[in-house]
Amino acid sequence: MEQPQSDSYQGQSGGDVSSHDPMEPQAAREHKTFLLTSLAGLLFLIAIPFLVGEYYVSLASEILIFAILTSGVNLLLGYTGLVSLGHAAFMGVGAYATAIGSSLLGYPVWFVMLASITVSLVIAYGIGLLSVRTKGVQFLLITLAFGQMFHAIAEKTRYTGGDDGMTNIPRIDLSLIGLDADHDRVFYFFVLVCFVIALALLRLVVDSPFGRVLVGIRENEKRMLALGYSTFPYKALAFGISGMLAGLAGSLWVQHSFFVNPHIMTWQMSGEALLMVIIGGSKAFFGPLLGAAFYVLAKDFLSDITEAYLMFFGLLFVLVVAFFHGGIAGFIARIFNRTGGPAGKDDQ
Amino acid sequence: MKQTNKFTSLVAGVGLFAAASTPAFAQDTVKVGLLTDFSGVFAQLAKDVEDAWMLAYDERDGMVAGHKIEIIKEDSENSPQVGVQKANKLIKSDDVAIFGGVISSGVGIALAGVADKEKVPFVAGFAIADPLTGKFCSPYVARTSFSANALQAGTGAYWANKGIKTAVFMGPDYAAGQAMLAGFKNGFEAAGGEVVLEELTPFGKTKDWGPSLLKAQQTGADMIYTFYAGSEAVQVVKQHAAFGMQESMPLRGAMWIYDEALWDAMGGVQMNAIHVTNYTNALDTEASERFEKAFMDKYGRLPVASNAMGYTNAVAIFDALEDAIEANGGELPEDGAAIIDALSALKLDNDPRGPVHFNDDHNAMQEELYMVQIVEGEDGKPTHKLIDTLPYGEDLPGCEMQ
Repeated sequence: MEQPQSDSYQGQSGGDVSSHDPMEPQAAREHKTFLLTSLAGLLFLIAIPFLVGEYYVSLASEILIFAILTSGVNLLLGYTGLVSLGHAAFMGVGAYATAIGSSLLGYPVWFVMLASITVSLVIAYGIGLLSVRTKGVQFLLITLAFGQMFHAIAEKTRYTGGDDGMTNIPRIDLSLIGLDADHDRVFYFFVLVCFVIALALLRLVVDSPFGRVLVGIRENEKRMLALGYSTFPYKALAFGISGMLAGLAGSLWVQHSFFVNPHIMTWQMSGEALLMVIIGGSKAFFGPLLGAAFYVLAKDFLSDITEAYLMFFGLLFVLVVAFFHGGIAGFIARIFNRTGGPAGKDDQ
Repeated sequence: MKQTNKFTSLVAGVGLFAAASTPAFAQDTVKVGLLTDFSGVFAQLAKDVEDAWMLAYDERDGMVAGHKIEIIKEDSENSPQVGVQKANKLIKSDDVAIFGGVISSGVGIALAGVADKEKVPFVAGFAIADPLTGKFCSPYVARTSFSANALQAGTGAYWANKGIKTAVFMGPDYAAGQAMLAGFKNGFEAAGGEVVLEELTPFGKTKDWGPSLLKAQQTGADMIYTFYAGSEAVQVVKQHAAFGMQESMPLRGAMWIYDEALWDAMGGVQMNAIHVTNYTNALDTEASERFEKAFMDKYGRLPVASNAMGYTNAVAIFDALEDAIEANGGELPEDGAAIIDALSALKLDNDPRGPVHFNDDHNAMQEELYMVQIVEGEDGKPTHKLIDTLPYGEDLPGCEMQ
């Protein structure tokens, strides 16, 4: 097995599955840099609404929402080594559950959000039980098939407006603390809170023995089996958690855009999520956030310049994949390592 | 951050011309968003709409009520997500007074939600889904094209009154296809006809219409009424001809199935086909002749239905801005709903489609629809011949404006 090139590569400690001593010096240092970079990043994210105009605040909300989705995808891709093409479906489940609950049934949004997250967890876990028995291309195809199935259901359901979808979906009611989420800056902070909670949970998961087993599965599933781990339930639960985060992203998305239609569940959407992870760096904990930011901002910037922006966009992807080993996060990590800067800065 | 002052090259040229021909003192500009599906399956329609917008812009020298118009173009890519993001940009970064365009119904409905929440007026240029001005109607939303039901119910009634007793409906199985079916059925059955078979084919996945055509043939109905567009339309028309059904069970529909852009691909089998449309360049009213000439002068070709739709869209937006600004003492009104109110009060008597006005749901209504036949023109190329006019249908109810 290849040894990690730098200690800043989160979760690449596949070799130490059996090591449970959290206080070994390297792990402790790693943990400290992680906390520091997270804190610096968080301060930056808090500052954004005070620095830029309303449109860019709404773009920033979009980035955080996608970052929740892609961080979930990365639990499978980066940590467990499973490539799913069906995550847009779970985003769609969260989105539709929120839209139905709040817009059609009239429940309060906070309650509907909790329900949406639970529903996407349960559905994703169920689908995980069925699909993680397969590997590689078969796994990719079975998740794609499930994704298309959900898309078709959404398209056919008259109750939710079929292909037309639903609009005028309310945002969360924050009047208890005297705020109105219809304002973009307020809504941004709400998304930020959800983002922090989601990523903190995810961090707990990947740092736990459970997360170590996932990394072990990625590196060598047969060895894990030989060590006596039954890998199947681990993979299924990882799939469920990853789907739950996608559901949260979907729930936030409908509130962000006041709107949902089956378009949110297309396989292209799942593909975009994978691209974001790969561009950002699937080996780094914050890689998906960097990828989402790069994706949304590059698209916004390029589409302002030219209508044929997809061509340049494609070119950019090729360059990133070809030359940025380990995505943007990996690139930053190498720069810091070469200049002797603090390891782990790539996290943010 | 980058504040885009975004004239594309065409607008820039036009803008320079307009600036040269207007007094040289500084005026406030009024920003108008043209948000439409420049890429994706509706690219051609979007280009048609854009061309018509630029014509309407030229015709008033880029001015509205003493203010200079600045058109900011954005591509919604036929994706509601992208559309919402671009609408956010137009509203929050460019600070547009109003935005229009939009071909896709999916994008249109998404934008209706944004417009309603952000209280910035949105005027759909195509987006014919009934709910846009029905269930999703808003004081900030209007539409200058028509609703699926108005067009199809009018046509259904026409055919039933012409003695067609039974019809087969064929169309793609998604929201638009279902809406067209419902509209046609409403009109056709109310006037005494009967839809004997509803044949909905999987959207975007069907290549062989043989089984559907066979089923239709077995019903012995008087005609097939269809809604297909693009490559699906070409295949249906060709296979229908190959089945030798053109005489026994003619294939009829609206402008999409026999769209001018598809004639080359159909390779001649479209000749003599009859379809309904809400604009044809075969019209010879004063207003349509004028539009035809102006369009011909600018672009060197005849306008098509989507050009006319884009033209109504731009003219309605500009006229509404003019009225709203004048009513507000030369300034843009604070509340965008005033612009939509002004738009709703417009009587577009010189519209190339015929006189257009707006109903209480802010949806365009025109006086009549046109039944056209594709015939050989004087130059040997296929062209439209106007064979009849028919009354316009009604919108579906369902709008509860707050």
